[in-house]
Amino acid sequence: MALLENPTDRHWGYELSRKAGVRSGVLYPMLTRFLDEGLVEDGWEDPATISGRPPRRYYELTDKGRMVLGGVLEEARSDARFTSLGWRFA
Amino acid sequence: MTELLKALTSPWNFLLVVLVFGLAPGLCLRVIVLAYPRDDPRREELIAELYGVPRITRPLWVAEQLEVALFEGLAHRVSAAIRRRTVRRRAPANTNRLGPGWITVIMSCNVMAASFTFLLTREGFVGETFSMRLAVILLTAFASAILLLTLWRGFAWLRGLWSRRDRTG
Repeated sequence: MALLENPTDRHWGYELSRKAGVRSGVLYPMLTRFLDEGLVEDGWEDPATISGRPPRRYYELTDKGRMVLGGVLEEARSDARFTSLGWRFA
Repeated sequence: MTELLKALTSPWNFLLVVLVFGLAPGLCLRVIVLAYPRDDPRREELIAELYGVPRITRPLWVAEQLEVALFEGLAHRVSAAIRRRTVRRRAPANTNRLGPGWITVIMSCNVMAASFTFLLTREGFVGETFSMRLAVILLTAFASAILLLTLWRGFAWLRGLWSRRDRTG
């Protein structure tokens, strides 16, 4: 859900864990699984654009990821058990 | 109240705060990420992420990373080690068929010890036949040479010796 909040943006691990409200122990293995399944792709920040800290690794949704995760979200939206959740995503 | 103010202005407490919130998280995280394999990008990723974490929550965040590193990094390392061991076991026989070098060294020591024992306990060794004396001396010299070479060159030369023999034979 946190990834789909801005589906075309780049996301960072710590930022994702805050947005999704999950601990790193859950998030990083999940991201590794998404990478293996081709749902997200990763990359590194350009060191020329930053200063005072090392470049961070970002995650970006692939087309496949947008489709698969969008489908999951759509399914969850129509499920009565999740209607109490506030759907803020595109 | 005075005690509280004293505690707040104490230089030792200031140092402790600097240590816990400034120095320790970075140091601990750099040790924690060593659990990941050397080429794992998670090592650099976690160190870079630390700079984005607010200082006040850094100690807790680093403690969380210990959990991640133990379950992700160590698991990776253990599975890689098992895979390497399996590959080595399935490797063709020309790698080290005769066993590791240390077995040869222990056997050489035993032979040498047995030779010396024989030499020392044989009554009237000087009076034995020439061929017997020669055999004992040669055996002792051979075992000593292997032991000394192993001590000097390490176990690698023994492994090299066996694999060369296998390749040529």
